[in-house]
Amino acid sequence: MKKRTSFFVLFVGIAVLTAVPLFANGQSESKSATAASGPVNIRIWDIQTQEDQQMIETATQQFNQAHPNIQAKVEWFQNDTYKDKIRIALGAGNGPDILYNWGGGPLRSYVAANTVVDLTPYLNADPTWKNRFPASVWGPATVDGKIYGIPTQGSDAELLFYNKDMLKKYNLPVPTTWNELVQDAGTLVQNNVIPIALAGKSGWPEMIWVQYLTDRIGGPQVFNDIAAGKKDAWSNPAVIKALELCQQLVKANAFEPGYAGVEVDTNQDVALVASGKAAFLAQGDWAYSTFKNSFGEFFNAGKLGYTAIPAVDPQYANEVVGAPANYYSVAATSKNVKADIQYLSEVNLNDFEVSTMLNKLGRVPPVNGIESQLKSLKDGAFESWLYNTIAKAGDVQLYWDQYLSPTQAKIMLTNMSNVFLMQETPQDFAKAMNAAMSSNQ
Amino acid sequence: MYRKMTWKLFLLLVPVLVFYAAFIIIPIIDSVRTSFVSWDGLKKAVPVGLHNWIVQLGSTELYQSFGLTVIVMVLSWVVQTPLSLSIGLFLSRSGRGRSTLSVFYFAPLLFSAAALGIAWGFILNPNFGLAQAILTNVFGFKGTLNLLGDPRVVLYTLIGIIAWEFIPFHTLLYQSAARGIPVSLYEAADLDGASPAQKLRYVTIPQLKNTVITSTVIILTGSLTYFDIVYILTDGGPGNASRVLAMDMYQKAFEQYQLGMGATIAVILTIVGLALSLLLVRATGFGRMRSQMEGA
Amino acid sequence: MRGVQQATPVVLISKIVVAVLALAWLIFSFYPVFYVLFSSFHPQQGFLLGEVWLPPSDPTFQNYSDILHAGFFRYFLNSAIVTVVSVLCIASFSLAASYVLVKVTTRISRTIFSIVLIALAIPLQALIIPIYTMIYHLHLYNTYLGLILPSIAFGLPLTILILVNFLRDIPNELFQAMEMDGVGEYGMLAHLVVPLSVPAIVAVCIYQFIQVWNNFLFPLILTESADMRLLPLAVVAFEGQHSIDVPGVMATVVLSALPLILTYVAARKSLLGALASGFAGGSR
Repeated sequence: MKKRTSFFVLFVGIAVLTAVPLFANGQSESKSATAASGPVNIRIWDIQTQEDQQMIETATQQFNQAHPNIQAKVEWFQNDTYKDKIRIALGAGNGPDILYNWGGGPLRSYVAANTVVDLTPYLNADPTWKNRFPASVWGPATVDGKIYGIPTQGSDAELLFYNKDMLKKYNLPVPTTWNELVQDAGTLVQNNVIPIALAGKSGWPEMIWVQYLTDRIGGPQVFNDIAAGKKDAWSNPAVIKALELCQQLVKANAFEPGYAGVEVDTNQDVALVASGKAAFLAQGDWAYSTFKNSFGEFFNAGKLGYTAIPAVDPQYANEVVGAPANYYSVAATSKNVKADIQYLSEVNLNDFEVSTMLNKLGRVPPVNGIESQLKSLKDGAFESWLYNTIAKAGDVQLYWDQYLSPTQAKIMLTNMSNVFLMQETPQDFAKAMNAAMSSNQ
Repeated sequence: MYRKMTWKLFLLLVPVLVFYAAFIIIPIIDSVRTSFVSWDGLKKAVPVGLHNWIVQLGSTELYQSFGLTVIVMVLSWVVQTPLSLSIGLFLSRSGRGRSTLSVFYFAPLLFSAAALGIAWGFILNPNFGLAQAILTNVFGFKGTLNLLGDPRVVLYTLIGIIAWEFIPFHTLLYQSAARGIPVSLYEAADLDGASPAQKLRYVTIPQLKNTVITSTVIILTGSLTYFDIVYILTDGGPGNASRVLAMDMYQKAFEQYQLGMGATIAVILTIVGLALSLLLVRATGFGRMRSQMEGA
Repeated sequence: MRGVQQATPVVLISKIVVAVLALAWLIFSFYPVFYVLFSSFHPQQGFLLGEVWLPPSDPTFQNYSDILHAGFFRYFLNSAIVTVVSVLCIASFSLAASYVLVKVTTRISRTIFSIVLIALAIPLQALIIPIYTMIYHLHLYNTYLGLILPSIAFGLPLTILILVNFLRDIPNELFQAMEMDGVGEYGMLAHLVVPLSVPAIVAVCIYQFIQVWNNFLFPLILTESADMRLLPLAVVAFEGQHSIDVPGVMATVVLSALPLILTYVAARKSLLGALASGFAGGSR
């Protein structure tokens, strides 16, 4: 008896002894290199890839050379996994100085947890800097009237791509209204062509249709109500109608068979259009590059067409769904906010970056005064079209799943998936979302 | 064999105990603590008492996920065990052909879940995939094979793919164990005039009993916590059709950022898994560490 | 072998059936791997078009060249260090512990075994945040040790389970014989248990090598800088913001799996050789 209990005690003792030193140090570790004479080191976390990444590295190096007292270093992460990583790091107080983010819901939670710095005073102190960016891009980075993010990268919009060959073959007009699209789809189905390619597994491609339809039917106010948390905002008739229209598409076999298992990241939807199996695809403007780089034969033969998502109510025909910009925010734990601001104002979307983006990357940076430069680009037609579409939109509505809180977003995507599977009615969707919204998730 | 634990023997246990205490026991305790708070990973955690537990245990979602998980556990065992056993026995006989075969059979284990997920996703793709192509061209099948997009079927597809991935491992277990069965037992059976089928039934299988239990514990606990391929191929979808408990936990903790809720599910998983393992181990006398040979 | 089998029709048919089944399983189990292999040689252009299930008509080494220029050797080195150290520790700690758990029949030993089983039922994701916090407070974030220590901990449960299953079959007579020769506990471990357990040790080492090498979550959360990246994260080079370069990812995966394949092929020979002798002395 005695021997057994004594061994038990020993085991528990070891567990406790191991635990004590592990948690004795409750402070997060302090960053090094803030000695008075050494340079200030700032860490930036970013997710951009390939040529965008190279551009930023070059711009950062130029900055470091020009400012020996500030040394900036960028660490690169993969898109999806970055979201977890930054949250864990911010929550533990171990984040970088500058963090890339998409604004919207996650940024609001960073603000609520006091982990990012209010940048409004710095912007107001430097009007040249602030006026570089169009007024419309600040939206997703503004919380309670204060700005928490500096716009970067490019504006994105969702549009309708199509296979010109398919439309020509069946004598179909490029649809400008919803009814035209449905008619086109009917003809295509009869001829055994998939009308619309849809990557259902990834969730947000289905959401794009619902979001656009809601916007086209009821205008931006519908989602503004939802965003404001107005009671029963999800039951707005525009939302219900949008879901019903999508279900009509499903019933009419407008989407490819097995759409619910098709994934967007591996370009399966783009491949459908490029291979002539499908005619239409609703995707972001970056798909233009995908067609060009990965499906060159199709692209170079001039078979790719693009247009806006068809209108329902004429007064909302110009609304755009997309992302006005992405953002760099400054962490509250940063030891030298002035250095961070200096880096951001001198590097982010400076002349070098803007010209690289326009000339090499085929991207539309969210800055003022570039209309004339756009026309002379290699993909000038597309870039100008994109720029103008965004410019004449009354409102660029941020993707719902980025704007909403992560909890609501996930619930929304799951329910939407069920609606597209005909397993949930639009009314039930509204009910579930209203409940999620009111339980303050 | 030893009646008591001496200090020298205990020292041999210390490394394992230290690692366990630090990286498993303490994080589990932390998880339990987290199940009593509301936390989004950023703000300070807010204690909410039993709130998470009440919400979870009262939600139909949890039981749905649990039901899906049970189906995965049971069917995984039903599919994997007979196949692993047969292939393991097959490979345990000597022969160069078998030796080469077993290298190929083992191949799936060497690759990461991400790669295999992408590969299977393409193979099963209803528009571009091999499976569809075979059905259409070889069998003249007119319809579309919707194994990943049909909520009624997706869970079984996943069970199949998981089995494909892990059968090599269990095959290895059975193969090693079968080779370790003493020849003397077979010689004795031969003397009694036993047929190959009888030898299988009365010598081989009983000698493999402990391996079956080990393998079963691994399959059951593994399928309880299995995550990788589900995440890559279906992300719990379509809808909720493949949202097993481990996916549910991941979604709540890392996609919805409700870490308290996620921790609740983690604790449930731990309790269920542990109960299952202990039950199996006790009920079959496995824990008593007796050699199978002592019965021979 | 076991006596002469008569060449009756039943026996012949059953042999053919078995051969056909074995071939069917070979195709089923190996094709996806084969798919990964030939996709890695596919040019990025037009992936998914054409005959998807056949090897590409215009294979290229471009993907391999890309990944090799993107810092592959550094990632390889990092993975090698973390994996080798972890596996050595897992194997030695588990063997020592399993020896004690099998041979000591007190209640405390059984309790410890039950505690070992706990860890089998926990998904890694459930514990990753507490582990992250711990590693950070130990000042091991973004270091080799910060990856090695948790990897050891998570490799222990399964390894102990398998080794326990294996060790229990070592006949007591062998131990008793050594005891009579006056060999102590450590001596028995070194001179009896270790030599007899070589096949099992090799098997668990192979398995844990694969697990640690391919583990994705630990390096993701516990490291940050590019020079501490492990191979599973190397796919970053081919993952764009909106889409994945699948052939590139496949090439990365094949290169990452290459050491595993070579280790496995090499270790199998010794594994089978050791298995052939068994404990009870008779060979088959």
